[in-house]
Amino acid sequence: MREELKARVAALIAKLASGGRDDETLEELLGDLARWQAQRVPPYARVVAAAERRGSGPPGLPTDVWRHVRVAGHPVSDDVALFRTSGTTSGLRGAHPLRDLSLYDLAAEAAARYALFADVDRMHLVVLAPHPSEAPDSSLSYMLGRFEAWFGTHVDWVFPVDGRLPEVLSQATDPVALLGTSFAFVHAEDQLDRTFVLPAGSRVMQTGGFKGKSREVEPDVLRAAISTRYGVPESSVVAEYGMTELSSQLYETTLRGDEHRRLWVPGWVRARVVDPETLAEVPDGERGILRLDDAANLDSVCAVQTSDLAVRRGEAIALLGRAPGAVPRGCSLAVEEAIR
Amino acid sequence: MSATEAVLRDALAELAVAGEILRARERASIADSLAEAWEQIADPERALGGLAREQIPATSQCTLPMVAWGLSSTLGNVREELAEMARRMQPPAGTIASPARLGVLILAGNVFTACVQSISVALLSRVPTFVKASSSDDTLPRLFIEALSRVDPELATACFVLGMPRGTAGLEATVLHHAQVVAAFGSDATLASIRSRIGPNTAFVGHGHGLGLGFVSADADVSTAARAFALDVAAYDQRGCMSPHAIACEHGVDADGFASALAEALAAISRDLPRGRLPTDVAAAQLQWRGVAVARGELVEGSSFAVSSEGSVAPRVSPGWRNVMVFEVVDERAFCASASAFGPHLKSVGVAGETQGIRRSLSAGVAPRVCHAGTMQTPGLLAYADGWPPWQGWRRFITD
Repeated sequence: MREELKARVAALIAKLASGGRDDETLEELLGDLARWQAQRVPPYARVVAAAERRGSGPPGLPTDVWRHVRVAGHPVSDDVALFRTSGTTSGLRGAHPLRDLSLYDLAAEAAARYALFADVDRMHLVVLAPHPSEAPDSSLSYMLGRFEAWFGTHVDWVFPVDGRLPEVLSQATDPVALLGTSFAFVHAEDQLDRTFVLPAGSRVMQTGGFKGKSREVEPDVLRAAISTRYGVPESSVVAEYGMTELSSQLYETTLRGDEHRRLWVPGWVRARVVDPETLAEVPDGERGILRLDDAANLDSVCAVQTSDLAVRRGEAIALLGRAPGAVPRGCSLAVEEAIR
Repeated sequence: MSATEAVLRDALAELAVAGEILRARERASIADSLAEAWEQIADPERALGGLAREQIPATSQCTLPMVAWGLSSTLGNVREELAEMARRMQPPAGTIASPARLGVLILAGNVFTACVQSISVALLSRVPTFVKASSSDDTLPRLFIEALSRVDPELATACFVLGMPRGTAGLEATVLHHAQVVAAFGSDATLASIRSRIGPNTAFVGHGHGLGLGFVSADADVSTAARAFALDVAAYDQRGCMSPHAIACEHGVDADGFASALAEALAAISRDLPRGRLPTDVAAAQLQWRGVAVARGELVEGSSFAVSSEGSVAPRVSPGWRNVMVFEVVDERAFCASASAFGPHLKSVGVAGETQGIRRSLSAGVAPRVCHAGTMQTPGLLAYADGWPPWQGWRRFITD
């Protein structure tokens, strides 16, 4: 059964790698995956059973669950990778065990090719993130490490951001893809005392929020700062949305001419914006929280319920930030800080 | 009244004048006037009592029955409690009180009645006080000043309430600069920010993030305990810093049975004290919290509450709004070990059973209020907070 499902997922990714959707196939596949996973992944089985008792369909597995229990249908001994979240303020880190990275690779390569590297085969990559050897449990580092093989002519890993960055960028004669976490870019803003004019065709990918970090910068502000700092048009600054709990990534598609800041949802992913109380999908344009069903999550759970506030805009998603949860109201708890 | 430099300057000038008058007042007479003012709000038949019930639900996010409960449970014995507070605040023998020139009280918006104790303490300390309330929830302090103006206009001039929106740190700094004592309720980040902006000789009392835990001893009656804790959870929709987030069952108590009884009790209490409307961000957090409960334990969900039973695991912080966890511990000592892990954030422990053992077993540095189940949210005006008496920082004396 696993091999059959895996083959179907791989085929769907291959079919939709250059865009487009086949929602009928995706729905059927996600349904089969969810049923199969509910039989194999104990915490998901419990969540599904509870939903059935309430008369509702298979829910997404809340991301917090990944911080408290193992979410996998296979034993630890079969793990080939264990990606961990970078940590929220609670210090509890979510974990995504993977038995097989081939679907992850297929999905990551296809999405990045579509949104970031559609116009080039390979280019000079400058990465503001730890090398995979330094962060073996970071899915981002893993992905960027794979970018080297898929898209790189050569790669400069500059992390932590230091004096090497201006050196590398000022010597660039060919277009550069500057890839890193939002926080690394903020840190670079603090460090750099000069601006650059990167060669035409250069681009920037920024990813991630500011979980557990001491500084937050609004996305628009950071994007403008990046554009100014590195001398690339804002349309060449692309946000990537990835989560440790997912095997696929969502990207903005401004490099492909999209004028709006919204996330393209790959055809092997279903994105729904749901009401956090009823879990019912909310209409286009209404605020809710994002649920993602990622067919490439084969050996864990494909249905992931995030806390990210979002609105649907047609087939794309616009993120509104993370629902802060039981925000500290007055002297009441800061949910996470209290257990630090 | 909106917050501007001019408004603040005028307020500070008025408070300076009022301070002279206040320092000449007898503490007992202040207590009488405060009691009379609070009683006007406590009484739904009086104009300000009616206004309180009309306005507070909108600003506090609590339902009207919850607001009425909060007012009556907090102000029910206000006259006796304030008289006792005035008595306890007398200077020690051989000392002379030397009230601060200006106090600043920074309120939070989570429990609307929290201002009753702090404003009363400030004025009983004879310190003219600037009260900064959340602009979205300054109703009760405003109504109190209105009541006090009717009862004792002179005393009312010694307390200035202003709702200040976020992003007015500059204005806040103006006030903090003049303060000799600052008491603040808020997030840990807020407190750190305030602390960094006050002078080195200004007394600072901060009440940061907090939560409560519960303990059901082996010899407790489960049904009684469940009913008592249901009130603790439902009160102020579990948004208080003393609200129980998790309740431990000692070995010998059927934890699943207790969780079921607690769910039943919460369903019952929700009929009399319905929960307020859930904000979206809390709903998102609730979904995550409940998901974890289902994934590793049992969850009983009602329309406006949930009780999880998660076995022998560490207590987990809840998003509030009537989501509570039940877990198992071997004994009091084990409970105290896990409770003490919350450090200074642990503000309250409710006990179904004897409280003495818990008090003795908590670690050094942890100073919650340890009380009987069912009273976690009704501490009374004389209750200590964070191990300190309510007048901590507000009283100063000239000694030999």
